[in-house]
Amino acid sequence: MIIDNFYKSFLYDKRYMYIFEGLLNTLLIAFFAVIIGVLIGSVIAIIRNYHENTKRLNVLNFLGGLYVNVIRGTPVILQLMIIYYVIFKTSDINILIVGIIAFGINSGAYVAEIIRAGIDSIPKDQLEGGLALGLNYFKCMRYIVMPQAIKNILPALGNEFITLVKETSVGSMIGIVDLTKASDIIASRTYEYFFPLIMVAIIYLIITIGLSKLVKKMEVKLGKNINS
Amino acid sequence: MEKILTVKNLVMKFSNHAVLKNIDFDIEKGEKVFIIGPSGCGKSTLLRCLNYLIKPTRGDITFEGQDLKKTDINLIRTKLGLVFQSFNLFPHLTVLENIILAPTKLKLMKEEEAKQKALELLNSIKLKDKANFYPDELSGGQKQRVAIIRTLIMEPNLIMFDEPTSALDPKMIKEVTSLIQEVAETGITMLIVSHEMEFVKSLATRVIFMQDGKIIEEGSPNEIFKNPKTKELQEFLNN
Ligand SMILES: Nc1ncnc2c1ncn2[C@@H]1O[C@H](COP(=O)(O)OP(=O)(O)OP(=O)(O)O)[C@@H](O)[C@H]1O
Ligand SMILES: [Mg+2]
Repeated sequence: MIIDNFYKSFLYDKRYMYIFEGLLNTLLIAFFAVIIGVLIGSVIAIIRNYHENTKRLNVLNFLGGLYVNVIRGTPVILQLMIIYYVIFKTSDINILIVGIIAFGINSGAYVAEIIRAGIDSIPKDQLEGGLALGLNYFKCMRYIVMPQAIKNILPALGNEFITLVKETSVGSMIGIVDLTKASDIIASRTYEYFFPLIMVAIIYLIITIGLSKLVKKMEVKLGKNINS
Repeated sequence: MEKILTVKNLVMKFSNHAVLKNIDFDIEKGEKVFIIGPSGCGKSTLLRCLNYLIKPTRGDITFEGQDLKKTDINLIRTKLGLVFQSFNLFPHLTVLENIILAPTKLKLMKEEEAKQKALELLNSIKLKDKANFYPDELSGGQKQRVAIIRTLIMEPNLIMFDEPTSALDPKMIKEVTSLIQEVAETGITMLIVSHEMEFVKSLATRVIFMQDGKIIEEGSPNEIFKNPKTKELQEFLNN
């Protein structure tokens, strides 16, 4: 009976392929979203820091703050639906790309705050050291402050990736075949929920626990660096 | 003599609290001007105003004939160096990378050329073997000497030092003051904030005494140390 169910859920008709496809999509979306998030987040964090330092770029700073607040203050599923059903309504864009864009934009707001904290963790004398040599603000950021800030926030960025791996499951709402959706597809064929759901739960756990361990290691190593 | 820096009516306020009150002075080419004065009187603030790390509330600063308000401040800073009390080396870069960062990213030198120059400079202070070390692996005195080299590679015409030895163990002070002395002998103009009175006496061509955001007295080292006129300076020197 159990073996029969297992067979029906994963082996019959190569149903495990759904799981593979779902896993791949989940990882793809999370990976590219975090990259987009880091790009958007860096730009916004630098604009806000530049504004704090010089009181310039008022409009961009305001827009950056608005973006962060709107994204953090609304559910991600709503953002996903707005992007899919409103913004990309008429285009026949690949739904995976929609997912990457939506989760990337979402992640950007959180990463902006992470990077802001990272920049604040670097003593001001680093920026001044660069400025005093004639480097302009943006060169100082690029070559002096950001490399140190990113190092300090690598663990936080790792955690953001872990969050995204789980959060992408709401992508199934607009029809993305992610890991969660894959189990749903299989179950709808077999009318048997237990195995598919438990299986993807285990896969999520392997990924998130594995990554958490990696992040912990990173923290320990970076901690050592700071103290030495 | 030709003036390299003039400061007129410089005022710096931090939210209504005036830290610099109408500072006026100038520096001629080749001079070694020292600033002395009690803690908190505004010496660091003055140096930071002079290269616009903080924007003065009021007043005019002219460097090599250029009004700082109207010129590209980044260009000015390559010729108006500042060495900090706490060195401000970049901990994620090696000694060599620290030194060549500005000249290469500002495209003043090719990377190879900058490296060569940096190694020559490091050799002259006997730190060539530390070129690939990180700042954390150096002693305080070595860090400050690297910071000085990092400023020198820009070939500035005026170097400012903000208490270059006060973050150092006593036994490391000498190696830094000796290097500054050597650099001074090349004829470069210097503006130095220091509490090391022996160092001041040995190198200064002129001394400015500040208190409470104002210049109280200035003159040759002889005048300042042997014949102080104001009560404030007499009290300061007696402590
Ligand atoms: N960014 C700032 N905001 C507000 N007040 C400041 C700021 N920077 C300096 N001050 C104040 O300005 C005054 C002068 O400080 P400054 O660091 O220039 O003194 P200093 O003469 O260099 O002292 P020290 O010998 O201790 O280095 C101090 O009262 C300080 O608290
Ligand atoms: Mg000071």
